[in-house]
Amino acid sequence: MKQTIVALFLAIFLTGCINNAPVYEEAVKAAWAQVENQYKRRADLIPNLVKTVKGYASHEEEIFIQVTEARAKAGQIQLDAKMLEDPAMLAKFQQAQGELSSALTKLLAVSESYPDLKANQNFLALQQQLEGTENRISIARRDYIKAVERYNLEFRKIPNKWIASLLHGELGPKEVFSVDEADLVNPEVNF
Amino acid sequence: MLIFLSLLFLLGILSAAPNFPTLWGVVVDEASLLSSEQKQSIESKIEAFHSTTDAQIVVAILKSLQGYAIADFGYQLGRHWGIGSKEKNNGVLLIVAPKEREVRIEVGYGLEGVLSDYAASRIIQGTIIPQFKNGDMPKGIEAGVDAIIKQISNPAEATQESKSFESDSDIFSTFFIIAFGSILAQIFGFKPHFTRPLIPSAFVQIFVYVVTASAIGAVVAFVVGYPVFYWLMKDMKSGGGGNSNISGSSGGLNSSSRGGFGGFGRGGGFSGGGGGFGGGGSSGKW
Repeated sequence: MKQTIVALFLAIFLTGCINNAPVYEEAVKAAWAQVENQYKRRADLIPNLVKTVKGYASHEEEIFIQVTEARAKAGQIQLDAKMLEDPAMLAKFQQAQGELSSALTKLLAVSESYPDLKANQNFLALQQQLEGTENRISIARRDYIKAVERYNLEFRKIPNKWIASLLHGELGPKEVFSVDEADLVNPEVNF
Repeated sequence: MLIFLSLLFLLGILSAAPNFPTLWGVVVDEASLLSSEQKQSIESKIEAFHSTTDAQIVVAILKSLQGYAIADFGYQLGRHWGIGSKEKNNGVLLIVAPKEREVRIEVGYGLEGVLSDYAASRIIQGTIIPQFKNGDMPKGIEAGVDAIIKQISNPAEATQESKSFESDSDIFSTFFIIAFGSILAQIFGFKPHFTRPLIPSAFVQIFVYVVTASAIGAVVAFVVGYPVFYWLMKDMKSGGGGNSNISGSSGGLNSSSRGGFGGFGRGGGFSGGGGGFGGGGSSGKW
């Protein structure tokens, strides 16, 4: 009797306690969805922003083209969960978003020279939304990195990694963002 | 039980985050900026608001931002206190840092629809900062609270986003360790009438946790269940003597992340509902 109880509890113990890989993977997917969500939020603000700036600084064609193209390029790269294990894909994604960040910074820098633009209510609203979105992006990235670290740890701990490779052979460690300073350029808003 | 609680305490200390003030009530004034009348006036407004909704507003006046950017401090504080309900994430934090002269309205995921970043910045720039520049900070804070309440009470639907990245499996696994440990204790011959109730208690505890997803509920179930099962089982015959030590959990808990607890009972009767924050809101300087 004792032995069966032990065996039963051992089984429950093993599966409940150290079989975390799928649970942590779901958390990684959810965190990644949030990252993409916030980047998309930023992309959605851009057409309106470009239009508003154009109303006051119509001859700055070059920067408008740059922003619009960067936005299109960033929008083309969609990563699903499997691609999160590929460092090259993640680097491409990061680079595209980074180029969009640079273009946005330039756009806002250009706007500094137009006092009427800076007083425009719509422009002010968009600046605030943009600043808030950059904050959300930065936090979503941090949450993602934490989720990936917790997930990756499962493949390094013993006996977790044996269980993981036994029961969940298709799962593998995932990539994290390389938190490059140039990447995290936030278009600064000075009042 | 004790080991579990002390481990949790230890994990809290080891996490690299700012030192958060304790959530004693809806107005947390670390910097002693407000007189007690001013504090009470703001508190009663917020508490009146709380009686109409499960959304939560908290004012935090900090001694110092401890070197963090206010947006960085803000969402972490919101998450730490768990302001807003767990399902709706409808919390708002008004953070004032008089030392660094920065103020922020931190908006939970669920209120981003009714309290947009732009609306938050209008409240800060149009209502709060003018009073701060006049030198009347308590008035600015109270006016800010009024404006926030007004904005949130907007009947328009708030966008509902529920996020929960904290995995509860670390808490779950602790319970398994306790259950497992009790089996080991039996094998090694601790007095059965102390250890035997541990098994069904552990079952009940796990069952309650799975059903309610509440770690507190599960702990309560264990605490209540143990004496019940002890009384029920004390007349059962069994062999084995040994010492009369009650078994604790076996060692080897190596989880490295914190559990996502909301309100453990604190003094003052107010605790966060477990709501989440993702960086919405706006900041200002004066």
